[in-house]
Amino acid sequence: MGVIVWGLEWRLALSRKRDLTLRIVAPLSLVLVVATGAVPAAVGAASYVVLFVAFGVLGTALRLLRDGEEGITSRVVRGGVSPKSYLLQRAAVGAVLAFVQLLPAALVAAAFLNASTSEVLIALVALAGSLWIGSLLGIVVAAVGRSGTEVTVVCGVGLVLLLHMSGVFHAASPAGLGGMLEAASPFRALHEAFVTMVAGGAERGGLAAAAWALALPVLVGSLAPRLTAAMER
Amino acid sequence: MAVWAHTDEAGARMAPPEHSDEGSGQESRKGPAGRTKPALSAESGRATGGVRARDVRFAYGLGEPVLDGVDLEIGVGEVIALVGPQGSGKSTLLRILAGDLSPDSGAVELPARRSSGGRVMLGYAGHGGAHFESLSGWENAIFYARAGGMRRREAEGAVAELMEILGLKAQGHRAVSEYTDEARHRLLLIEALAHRPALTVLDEPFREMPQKTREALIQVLRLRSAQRGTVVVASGDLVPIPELADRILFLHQGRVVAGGRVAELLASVGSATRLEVELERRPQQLDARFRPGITVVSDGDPYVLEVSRGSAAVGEVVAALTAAGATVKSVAVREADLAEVFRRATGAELQ
Repeated sequence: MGVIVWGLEWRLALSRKRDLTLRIVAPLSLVLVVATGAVPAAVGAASYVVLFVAFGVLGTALRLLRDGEEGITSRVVRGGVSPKSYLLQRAAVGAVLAFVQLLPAALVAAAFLNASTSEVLIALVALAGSLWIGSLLGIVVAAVGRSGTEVTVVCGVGLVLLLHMSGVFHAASPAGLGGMLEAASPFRALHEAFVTMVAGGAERGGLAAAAWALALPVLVGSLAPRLTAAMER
Repeated sequence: MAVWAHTDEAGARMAPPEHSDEGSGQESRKGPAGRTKPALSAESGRATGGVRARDVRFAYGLGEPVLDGVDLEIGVGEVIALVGPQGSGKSTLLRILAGDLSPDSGAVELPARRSSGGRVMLGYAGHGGAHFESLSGWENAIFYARAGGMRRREAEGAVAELMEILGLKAQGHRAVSEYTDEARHRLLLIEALAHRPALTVLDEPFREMPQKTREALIQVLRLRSAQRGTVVVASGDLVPIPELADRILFLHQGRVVAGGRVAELLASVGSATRLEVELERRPQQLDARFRPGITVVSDGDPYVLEVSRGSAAVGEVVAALTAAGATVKSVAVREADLAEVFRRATGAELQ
């Protein structure tokens, strides 16, 4: 059977051309507004991180919520695709799709921050990792939320906490427990990648992001039957 | 407590079909009303497409029972028709057989989820199954055939054949969002059948289907049966059933009220046509005289007769009753058919 969900999701994405276009144009427009505005570069960098991460999490969460409501998820699972395979393939497609859709916006943001090629490459790797983590978190959000509104609220509150933990809303890293949490947070690498473009310095947070990127699929995979069951409304 | 069993090919215990990777089969499940269903367990059973249900009871939420103690046993390769009026519990029973619902109590024994060759053993077409709307019917059907364990080329062959048979070939490459309800229904049937499941469960498959397509589908299902595939079909329409089914189970108010082979059921109602006569006025002593071939079954209300010459005897019966001093209000002709089996078992009309 292999990766039939991967192929299916790509065909679905490509068949929804209007949706595809909007998802490229919308983040690009937001980045352009921030980049051409008069906000300090550090604030701009934080805005990009919030936008990219929210885009990744919500993209997967809302699609899965809709598929659960329409009965697609239950049909696919009963049709023979294991919940684990289904959710991990959906997360992978969601992450790659979000990366492709955000790529123009990320490149424009980097260009306005006068980033070097190596900084851009590091930022893109961090973005890809963050979108993979975000997509997996989106699965959990879709299972928890019972409507589009709930998903948006859960996603908003959860992300604010995670992004705060990741140092997005700090001017400097806190000491003590706050610092430890920041070091272990999933989106620090992405934030640091953009902060480095603004202020220079060494990019940090890659190890924590890698740990999240490896641990979350295991968690989602082990909970997959319960998560898909929860997505049925 | 509901007891489920999904048996693997060696008769070992298996998990229920829903939301289990290769799970333990012990997790709690929720019905549509959000009630926690009893934990699922399994017991030893058969290794093929047979089905067994014992004292199955189910209600949606806190409502009246939809299934009220259903027992059934379906052998490998049998074609079974569940027949009953709307609300009799057919669709709910099928959803339980498809693993879509868990019974509140009773035991259900189903085939393994997958064969040793990796093929999904169940094919289910219920009401209003969701499709990937922006993809074509062909892409939808190929996806489900492959999910069911087929290789691409094999899936393409099976889907192409079924699309031809069920008359969906011309629309196969159009987006499902452009399909009519009827075309969607046919696509659902193709998706249920393409991977050649050991157990095929179809809810009202002949709905809005032209005669030619109906005959073709019957042939497909009979062929599946000949290849030891088990088929369970729910239908409110009796027309295709004698040609399709090995056995019929009549459901009424959540119970199996009659069942057997078509010939046995027809024999149970005899070959004579029944006339049910409603009398507007009857004398104290109704002494109507009829020729041989017309027998009074009941002289109550309605006044019931069996006639060997079908509806041709209506005029003669009315004349005899009128001569005996009665006034006939109406005459209902009940042919000795399968609908009559249901009527005699329940006193209710099938449709």
